Amino acid sequence: MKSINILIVVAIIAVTFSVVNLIVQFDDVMELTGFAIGNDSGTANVTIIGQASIEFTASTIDWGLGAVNEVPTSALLVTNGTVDGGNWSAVSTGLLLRNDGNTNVSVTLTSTVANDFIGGLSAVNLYQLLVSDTGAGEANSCDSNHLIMDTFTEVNGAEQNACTNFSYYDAQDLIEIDVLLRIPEDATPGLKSATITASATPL
Amino acid sequence: MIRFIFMFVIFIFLINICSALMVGPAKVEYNFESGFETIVGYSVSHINPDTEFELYVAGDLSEFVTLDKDKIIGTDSFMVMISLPQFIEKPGKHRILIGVKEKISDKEEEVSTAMIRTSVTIQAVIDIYVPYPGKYLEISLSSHNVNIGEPVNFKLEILSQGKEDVTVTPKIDIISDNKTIETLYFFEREIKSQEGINLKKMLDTTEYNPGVYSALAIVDYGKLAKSESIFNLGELIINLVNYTKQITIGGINSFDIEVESGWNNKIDGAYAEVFISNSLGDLLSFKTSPTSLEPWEKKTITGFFDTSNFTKGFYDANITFIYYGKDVGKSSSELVKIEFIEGKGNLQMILLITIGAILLLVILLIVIKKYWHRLVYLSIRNSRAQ
Repeated sequence: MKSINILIVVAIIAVTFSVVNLIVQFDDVMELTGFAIGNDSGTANVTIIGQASIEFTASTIDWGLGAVNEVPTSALLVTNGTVDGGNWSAVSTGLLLRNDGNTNVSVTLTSTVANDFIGGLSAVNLYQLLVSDTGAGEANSCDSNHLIMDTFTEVNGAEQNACTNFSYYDAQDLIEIDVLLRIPEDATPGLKSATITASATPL
Repeated sequence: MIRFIFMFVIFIFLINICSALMVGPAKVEYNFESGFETIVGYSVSHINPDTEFELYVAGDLSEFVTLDKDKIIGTDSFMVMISLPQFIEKPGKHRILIGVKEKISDKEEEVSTAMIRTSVTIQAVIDIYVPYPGKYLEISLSSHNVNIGEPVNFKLEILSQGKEDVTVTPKIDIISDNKTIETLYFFEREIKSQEGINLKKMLDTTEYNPGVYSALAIVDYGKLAKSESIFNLGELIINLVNYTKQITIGGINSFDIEVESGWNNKIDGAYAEVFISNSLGDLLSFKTSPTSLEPWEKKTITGFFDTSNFTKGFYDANITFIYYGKDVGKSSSELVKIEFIEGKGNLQMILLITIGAILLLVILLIVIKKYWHRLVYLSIRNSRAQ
């Protein structure tokens, strides 16, 4: 009972303070009404600095655990949902790279070669990348004249041109990087991982 | 409450941290001067404050550039000191690259189970222009696609990269089918050595026809500097690029139509209605699924229809496109030929049935031959008994 009384007192003080404050503020606002006169003019200068910025909005691909079937002797994994000849989980979207700066850039991709990444018979293993601005990407992000990696291209361990003019315009600034792996049956077991480095250079 | 906090902590760990890296300024340019020295400040920002970045210098003239640090962590800044030599022999553009490379830490690598991981690198650009002897211009023309009636705004960048000043009167030729149909002239102006200017010119397209045009900028300074830019003048139209030319008879089949937008805006609710006919008249019609087309986009739309009642041969197909651009509806038609062919499936079926029938007949004959005498004997005995 005693605590309820204290709460009521506190509430009354708070309400009183709020009402007084409201009256004071209202008076101040009333005093400030009016409009500016005069013919002074000013110049506002603003310089926007060019910023290069790229971001992987989908930054990992994971097919999970799996093995190559007895027949055929290799498994094909593609980020369009294909898992052929193995029991890995399907992945239906590739990596997504966004140009969220304010300048067009050229993009190269670098990663490990199939022998080092997947292993197994080198005549069978494949590690390929394909870049597109359709599907999960945004149309016109990299037009056909500048899209270099427009078919699945084997990763060679060096910097490889992917798109020579990656747009920064909103709704035209997202490309998809699809990955294709062919895993031979003799690839050594264990967690296989590779890093794809996207390198952007302003135009 | 404790359960909520626990779930929140779990959620935080499930968030996929993206590797976003921003470096500025993206590009700086300097005209070469003997013994030129300057300091450029760079800012780096990254979503993750713990990410480490390697800094490096690459490209032309990298030996004349030093960094105040070789790595940074998270959002930070660094300085680039440029100290150029007294003389550079090779004229033209020399590009220095200032690299900011995301480093995947061993700690991160240990916990990552993903097969494919990513990292990003940004190479900011420093261009140094070394003047050519005498007069030398580099020009670059840019344009853009528009719809008929809308203006094309050309931008002409002229860089005087020679040691001498030049006086020029640039022009832009508008070319269609290898013929110059209009020329836009700029005022005469002087461009100082190592000066760069940006000029603008507008083309009125009211009297033009839709299509692909070439704009060729020509600047005469004793030599000719040229730069070409292609632009499209669009109209609200969908063009037929390709279609299914052969259809196998039997059941429900698909009919693909590859289309291309001829408009510089988005086209909505586009679909095709296909009317198939022959000399006897209209036989069948079907519609494809609707789609939208981005400016100048090529796309394949598909319709399905029953081919059971068709016989082998050529038919007429009237493909009518119906579409909307900026709430204006339009349609256009194309008359094409399609061929209906008999499927391999039917032939195989007929072949299998024939082989089966022959086999059955042979077995029947063998059985009859083997038991013929017994059958004759039994029938004679039965008749005698009666």
